Amino acid sequence: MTTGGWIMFGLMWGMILAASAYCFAKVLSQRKDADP
Amino acid sequence: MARERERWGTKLGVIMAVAGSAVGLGNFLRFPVQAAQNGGGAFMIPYVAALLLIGVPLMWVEWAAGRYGGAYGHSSAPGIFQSLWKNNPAMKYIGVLGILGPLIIFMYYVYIESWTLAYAFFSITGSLGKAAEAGQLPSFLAGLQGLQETPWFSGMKAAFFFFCVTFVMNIMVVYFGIRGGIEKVCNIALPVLLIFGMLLVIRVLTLFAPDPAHPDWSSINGLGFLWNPDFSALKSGRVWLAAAGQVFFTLSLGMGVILTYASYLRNSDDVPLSGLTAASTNEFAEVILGGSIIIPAAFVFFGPQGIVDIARSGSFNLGFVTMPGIFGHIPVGMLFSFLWFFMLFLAGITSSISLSQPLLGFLQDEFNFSRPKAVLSYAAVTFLLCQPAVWFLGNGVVDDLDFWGGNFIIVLGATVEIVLVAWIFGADKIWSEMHVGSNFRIPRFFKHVIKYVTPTFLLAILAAWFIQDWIPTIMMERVSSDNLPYILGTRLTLVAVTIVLCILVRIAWQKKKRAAETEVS
Repeated sequence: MTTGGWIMFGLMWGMILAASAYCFAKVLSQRKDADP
Repeated sequence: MARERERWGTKLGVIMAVAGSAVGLGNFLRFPVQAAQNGGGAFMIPYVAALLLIGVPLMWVEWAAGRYGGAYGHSSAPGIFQSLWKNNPAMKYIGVLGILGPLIIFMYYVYIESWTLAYAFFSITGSLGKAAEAGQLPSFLAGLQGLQETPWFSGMKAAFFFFCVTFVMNIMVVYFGIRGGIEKVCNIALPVLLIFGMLLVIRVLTLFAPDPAHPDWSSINGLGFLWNPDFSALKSGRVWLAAAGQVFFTLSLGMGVILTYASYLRNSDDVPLSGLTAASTNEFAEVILGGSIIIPAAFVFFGPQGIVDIARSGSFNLGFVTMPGIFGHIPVGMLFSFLWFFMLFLAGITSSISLSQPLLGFLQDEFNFSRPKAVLSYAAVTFLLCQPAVWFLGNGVVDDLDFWGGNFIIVLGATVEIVLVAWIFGADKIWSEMHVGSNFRIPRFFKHVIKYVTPTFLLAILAAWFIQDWIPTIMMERVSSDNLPYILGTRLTLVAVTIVLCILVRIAWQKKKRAAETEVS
């Protein structure tokens, strides 16, 4: 894999993993007091 | 007396259901092929642009519009569109697109889903392994589909059996309703699917370079095949269109499913956060899992030239022929083959159950049907409507249904929807509606994206596809004379279904009008 490939791979994986972790952490923190 | 509307059980449950609807076969089969064919790593630039300018904004719009319509007692596009533009009686008929699209996709999707169940089963029994050893995987698939007489299958018995099993499973899930059926299944199926996907990614990436004669045919170089950027591809409009199309299809946008699911939300639900969480889960399944299984695995065994030829032969060949062939070459390969096909089956069923809900919601809300009555009516009608896809697969019926349901109607529906919401209902109103019950503030920049950029982008896609692809397909230019009667029959069936749905909408609204007049007098 070329350097450009690693950069694109790292950027996309980093962005998606960070977004997923952030969103689920937020949802789970809201869930404690809001679920019926 | 009106029944109390169903609701989602938990916030996480609705996210799992929407993500389950979005994560489908396309995440694992279509995305890697599209990326590899359209500039590799460079494809991600238009992909991310389309995700931010079409995908996520449209997802927020659908969640907010669905919840808004749900507050008026509607859970399908006819009622939701009508509540967004109350003075225009035509909106309820235009909203038929939001029932018709999922119904058409259901007509062939369940059959394709049944192949994944069949392959998972034959992975366990060993038949698939024997076919792989004998180098007969293409004929195994054609035999299952009833397209060829093979030593593995005789006629359509196996195909029809697995179709019936898959169909009954779908109907059983939706029978138990939003909370007791769809939510419960997605809460289990989606995490299992993601775990299976991660196991497969680990297995593929630890294949390294198994052939000493080709030390450069490694799993890392396989990732490079997908990720090495060819920036010259960005000059091609076709690549931008392919990226926008992939984002659009992967998120289940424009087909009416998210509108329906969102209609069961409460005002305390956080639309921006839930929409973003469902989208990021889908991207995890698509880019991280989907991008790390099929292409690297095929690269390790077939090398750079072989994979180009395989990718050209289409996503289904990669999924159903190439992958079991690869599993045949690795230790305990049939266990991984089972994981692969059962993962695809879970991705399929969480999508196909979502396709049922718009029509079920329509029957329940607009005709006051009980859940069992709505499900049994739906099962009877769709069982018949699925038969052309099962029996006439070789005559181009599935491709034609895919064009109308999975392409034409959803792009048209999404364009109508964004114009209706952003310009008729109003960008300010939908912006406020999105933030009801939300602690999460969407950057204001997205308000302008929703009003100007997303509609422009969608209108451009609509125009480009109409000229490039749709006119020849609509005019049946690529249909052989042998298949012509089957395609004509399919299209007449779709016209009849559309007319019936419009009549049902008319009857439902007339009944409501009469009931309202009786109440007043």
